[in-house]
Amino acid sequence: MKSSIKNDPKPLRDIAYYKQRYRNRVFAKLVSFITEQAEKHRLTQKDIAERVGKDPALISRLLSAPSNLTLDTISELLLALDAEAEPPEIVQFKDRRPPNHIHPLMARVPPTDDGPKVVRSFDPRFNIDIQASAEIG
Amino acid sequence: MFVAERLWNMLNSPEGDAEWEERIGKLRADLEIFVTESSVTPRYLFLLYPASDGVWEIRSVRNLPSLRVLGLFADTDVFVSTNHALREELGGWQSREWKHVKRFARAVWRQLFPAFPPKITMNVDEVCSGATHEIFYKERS
Repeated sequence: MKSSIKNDPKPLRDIAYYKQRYRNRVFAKLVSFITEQAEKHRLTQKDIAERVGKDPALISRLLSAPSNLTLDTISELLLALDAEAEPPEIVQFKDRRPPNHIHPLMARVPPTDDGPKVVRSFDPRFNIDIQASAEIG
Repeated sequence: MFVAERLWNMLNSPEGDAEWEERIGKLRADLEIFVTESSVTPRYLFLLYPASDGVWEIRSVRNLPSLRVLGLFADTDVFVSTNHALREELGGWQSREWKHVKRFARAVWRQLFPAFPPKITMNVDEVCSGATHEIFYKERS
């Protein structure tokens, strides 16, 4: 007999969140790399477009929003800069590392009467107990 | 990033229809760019006029409806998001609605931090480490 818990559908909000998060991460990495290379080699959008036989306007559109990217276009953009992407790293949620940085201003927020002040992360596992952090820091 | 209560409540709102769930999920991911990514682009983080007010917007464009999250910086990399608005309801840049949401952002800031002024600068590098500049993509004259 199948477990009903095992096949419970994931919440739509989570599905949308993780899809967008992955897209944003790839986009940020790509933009960061292209900016760095363009600056280093004094390249323009037109230069990049010519190297892969595309319209400069298309390059502009691709770099304007994460949703415009596909695996093929990422490959083309990177090839224009003599680079390629390695396959993504796959991590199980249970194996993710918690953050280890707290901004000094956060540490200065005083605790409230209703318990320790907590900086809430979107992922409850990553909430930071300010009181505890301030004491450690 | 700190999130004001109203926006926090929206991000953690009870389950809605499929469209709502999709929009909220994506907004949450878009806000996290500021925290988790090593670079942000001018199309993501934008200083609103007048710069002397120190009100910035984060754009969550896809999917529609496009959303704007307004806020001010307490320090470099410390963004306090004060309020949000649907882009389609704001109209043109000089509209009354735009003025209202910017004024509201400053009011929320004053309420939260009466004795602590926001960081005012036109230089994105002074408020956000890892900001990328689009100049490298454009044609050089």
